[in-house]
Amino acid sequence: LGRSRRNLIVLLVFVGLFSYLILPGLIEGQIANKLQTSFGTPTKPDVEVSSNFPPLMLLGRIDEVEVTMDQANLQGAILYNTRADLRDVEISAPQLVQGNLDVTTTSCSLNVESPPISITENQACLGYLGLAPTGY
Amino acid sequence: MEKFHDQGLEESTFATWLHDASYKTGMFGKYMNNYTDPSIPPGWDRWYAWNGPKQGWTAINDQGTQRSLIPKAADRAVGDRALRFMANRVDSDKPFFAFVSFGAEHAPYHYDSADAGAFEGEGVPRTDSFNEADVTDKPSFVQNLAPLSDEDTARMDQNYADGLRSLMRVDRFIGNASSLLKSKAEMSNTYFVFYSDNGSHFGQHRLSHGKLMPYEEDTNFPLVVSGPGIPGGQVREQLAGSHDIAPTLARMGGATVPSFVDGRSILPIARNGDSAWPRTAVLSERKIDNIPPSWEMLRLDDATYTRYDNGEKEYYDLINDPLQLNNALGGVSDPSYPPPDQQTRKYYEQRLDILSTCSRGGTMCCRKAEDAPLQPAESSP
Repeated sequence: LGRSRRNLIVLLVFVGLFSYLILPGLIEGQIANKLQTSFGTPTKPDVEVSSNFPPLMLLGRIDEVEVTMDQANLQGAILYNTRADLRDVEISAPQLVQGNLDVTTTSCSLNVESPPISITENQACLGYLGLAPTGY
Repeated sequence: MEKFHDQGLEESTFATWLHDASYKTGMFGKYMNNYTDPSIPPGWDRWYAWNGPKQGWTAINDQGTQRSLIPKAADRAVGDRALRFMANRVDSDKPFFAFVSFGAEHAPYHYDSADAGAFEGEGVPRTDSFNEADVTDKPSFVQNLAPLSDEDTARMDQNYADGLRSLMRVDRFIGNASSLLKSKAEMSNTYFVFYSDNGSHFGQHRLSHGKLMPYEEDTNFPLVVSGPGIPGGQVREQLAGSHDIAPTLARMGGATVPSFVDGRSILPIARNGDSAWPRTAVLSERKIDNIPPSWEMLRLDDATYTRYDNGEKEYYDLINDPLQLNNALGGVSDPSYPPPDQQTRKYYEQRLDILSTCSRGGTMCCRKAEDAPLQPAESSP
């Protein structure tokens, strides 16, 4: 055989934007990473995004983001069964693909079972979650 | 990725075929979406593969060891490692196979700072399909699109120019690889195969930048080959699909192609455009029923016939209407773009029925389906 055989070089170029079919996973992963850092959870928090018109996610627009954390640590306090619900979420898609998360919402609510905590004010909720835009 | 792995499909790929044919194989760059497995798939001697989009392409599996990766530098690292792989093996008695997959031309279009000034002023070509004025012939999901805004257009122009800049790294890699092979007198003994995973639309038919649509910009994309016996500077018009890549690589390397493979080697027509090529159609499809609805497209030599799950149809005569401005099945009667007759439409539907299901049986019937006559038997002259 030896050099009578041919070398082969294949160049494949991946083309496109992020498909909105995989974008939910990317967004969920980024939010989960940020929450895990903020709350010191041993495993990644459960984050689920949903949208009635998925292509709009390419523009960073998401109808709803749901977050659940069985156990979280906030400044030394243990929180059990935390649930957050974010509506009409906007995320900067260019920032997202750079690994930066910049979130705004029209409504955000957060409830912790123990100790009992309930926050419904939008910016306070985002701030509590560590998702408020820089400067808040 | 999970499905491919879990079904054991990694056990027989072009990597294993070429490895079995004595090749030293190397994989560099993107393997599959959501790839995080720390193990190295069968058939690969050298492994340097990114993690998936959920992890933001921030780590790389370097021969089984996870290392951090700066996304902006990913393509440069991939090219460097691939060159090193080739340099280390080019003097060996065994041939090498380098699969180098770049993220260039994919958002966010990372490019070298040296290329920041390149392609200044480049933008999306303003063809008649760009921000198409009249979409009344199109399926409802296109009809519902508003004309592109100035902001949309500016963003696409920026993406388009940045995409060209990002490709400079690929261009540089090809130059460096060619120089290496020439210095070792191996250039004439090496095949280069260049292709992309899909096409991309930039504003055509009012569709903002994206993919997954049944139009030429998305489904008809480059495949460039060079190597022993292939004349340069020639264009082949025969229909080829992504499923032809694996058997083509096997043929180039003298490897054995398993019987389950549906595609076929394009090497004969690359070498000689007059070689027999009985294929009359290939299937393109999108099986996610969302927006737009799932679709199946019969790509013929000179036309496309598309059916959507919601019943809408498209037919374009690519000879007279290469920009796909006049859907002959869109309810707009234009004698310049006549629709196929009922018998032919029925025949196209039958061909799509067969082509969209043939691979499931694991037989070779897909090739027969692709080679079926262009027109139904009754209407043949």
